Amino acid sequence: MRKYLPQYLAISPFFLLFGVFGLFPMVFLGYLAFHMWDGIGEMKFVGLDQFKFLVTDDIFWLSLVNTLEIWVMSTVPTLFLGLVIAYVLHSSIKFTTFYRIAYFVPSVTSLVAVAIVFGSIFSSHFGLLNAVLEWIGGGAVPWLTSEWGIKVSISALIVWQWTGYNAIIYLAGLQAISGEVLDAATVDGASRWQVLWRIVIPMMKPVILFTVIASTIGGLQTFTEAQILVGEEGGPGQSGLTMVLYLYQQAFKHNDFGYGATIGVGLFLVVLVFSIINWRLVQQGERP
Amino acid sequence: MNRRAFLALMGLAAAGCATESRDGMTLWMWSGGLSEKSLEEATTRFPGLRPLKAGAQFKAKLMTNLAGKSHVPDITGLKGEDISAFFPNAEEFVDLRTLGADRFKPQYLDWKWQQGVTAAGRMIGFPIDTGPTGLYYRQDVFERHGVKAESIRTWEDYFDAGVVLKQDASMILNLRLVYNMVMAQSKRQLVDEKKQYIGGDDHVRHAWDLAIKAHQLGINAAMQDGSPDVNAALTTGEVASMIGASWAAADLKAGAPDSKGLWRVAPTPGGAANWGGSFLSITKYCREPEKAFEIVTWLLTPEQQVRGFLELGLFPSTPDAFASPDLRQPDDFFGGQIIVDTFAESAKQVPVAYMSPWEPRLAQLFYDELANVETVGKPPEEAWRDVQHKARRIADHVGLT
Repeated sequence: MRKYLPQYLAISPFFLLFGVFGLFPMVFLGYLAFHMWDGIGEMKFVGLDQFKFLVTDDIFWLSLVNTLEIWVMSTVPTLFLGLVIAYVLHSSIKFTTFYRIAYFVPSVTSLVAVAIVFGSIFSSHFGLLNAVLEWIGGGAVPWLTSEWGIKVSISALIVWQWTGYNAIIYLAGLQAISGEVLDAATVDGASRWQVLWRIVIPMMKPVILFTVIASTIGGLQTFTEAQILVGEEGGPGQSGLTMVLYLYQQAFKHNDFGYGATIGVGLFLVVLVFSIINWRLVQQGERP
Repeated sequence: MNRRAFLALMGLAAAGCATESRDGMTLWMWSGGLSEKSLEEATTRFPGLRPLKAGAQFKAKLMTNLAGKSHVPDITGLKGEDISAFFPNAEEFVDLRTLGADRFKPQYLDWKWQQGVTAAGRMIGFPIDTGPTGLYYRQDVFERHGVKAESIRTWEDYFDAGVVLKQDASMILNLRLVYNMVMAQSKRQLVDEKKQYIGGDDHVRHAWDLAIKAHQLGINAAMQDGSPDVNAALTTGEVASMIGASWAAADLKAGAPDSKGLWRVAPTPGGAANWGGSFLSITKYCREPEKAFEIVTWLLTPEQQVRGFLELGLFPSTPDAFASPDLRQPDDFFGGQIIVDTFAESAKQVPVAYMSPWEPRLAQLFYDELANVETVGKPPEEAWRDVQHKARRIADHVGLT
């Protein structure tokens, strides 16, 4: 033990930080979910009351549905566009570095700043998008005051932010495919389309699965986009109220930390279900 | 550096984090909450006073430190909308009456004073500023339609005027504002002193019905607070009036600068009300409560409150300050009107109302359903049933009767 002390010391920062900011909050969350607590005063043990309140809470189920809808509406276009962009980038040779930087910039831009800009684009009466729509002869759409408008706006923001990031990952995946394989296919008479669908995509499967898993974990935790675009209440009809936004609202706005923790447990279970589905998909992928 | 020295340094750094310096007197405030000049003068007058701007998410930060029982400020600001949330934990703060607060009571507005006192009579907040409301309106739009602001006394008058303008402009931004103001004019809120949910009673139904009436008359723009549309609509005159607190004047000037000179202020339809305004509190972790109380009372004398108004538009909680010639200045944004007079009149008539800790949480349900009515066309009766159902559930959940 003494002999390896320096090594243990070297790896300790991760475990210390994980313990304090990862493990402890997780355990405490589970403990808190069985209590009523306003953040300062005494914690009161209430057994399963919080969970009973959770399963009968229409707003919680609404937030779950909202989250899933926004997740699908954002992830599918993000990954599709990412793949298309990566394929185009891979084929062209000029200015590759420029494009890579340009596509990566959105994912490192401050989310709050982006959301404020998107708020101006999607605003109903004086927004940029509606001005364009009216100019080309379409009617104005109440983006931030109607159920689907809100979801489309939030999804559009996520798509804008993460398409480039996924494109870069796909690009790396594409570059790992040996040129010989592609050349062989071309020599055998495969069209560009066939090369993409029959060779590139199957070989990219592990990379695609990685991006799907990453988007799932990110998508189920959507928070800032909704909070800035439509506010802490999730906007009209609470259509932009995601699970994490609901958790935040209950715990930090209404000081109901016990119930906030219970929502956290609910979120954990949902993520767990999706992780199992993803895991099964990966398993299937590995079987020939 | 050898390894031993490095480890020793690490140990020192860790120890440094753990020890807490308890010298001096810390004062937490958000920016714009107290006059900078007053704070500066206070730091020279009371050596050891260290004002700190805690910034955004103020309540969450204060609660975190109170829960952690460390680095808790000696003196802290509490926002009017947050103070009742601290009532269940009032023992975290010094009861200001034990420090002789009652001596100062006659100088301050009574209803404001009462807001800092819990149902059990413990005084945890000393009045900083208030938010008396008024009717901000567009003189040009009103004139074009022959509407006279002076003749608007009741909500019905206000709505009638709205119908006259209807072709040209909306009278109100959204239904929430109507509901909010009618409730602010009421002596009773959603929960009473006996921890009883009264959100289904007539006074609430009255506020709800007035909001719904505005919707049925079609005089609402259905623009939700904080949306970028609001400023544009106020600039163009598409929305011709706004009921707001005194501090909304600053928002209006910042958000709709091009409409300078076109605005005026009239008394709130239906009677005086208050929206916002803050308090200073002394926490139980303060080592020298007497000295802290001396600082608090010095910072909030009528003279310092005049400074706060001139610098930041903080409306005084002391009637003596209203009469100051420094306050009673004509305002060009409002066509040279002395708007302070209108708000001062309102400030003297605000009803005393008990604010329970659950008020913001329950009120939100009403806001949400009103937004549903005006933006997604939910039938009002269904919205009322839903809001009562949800409010009752939460009332049971948090232990109200």
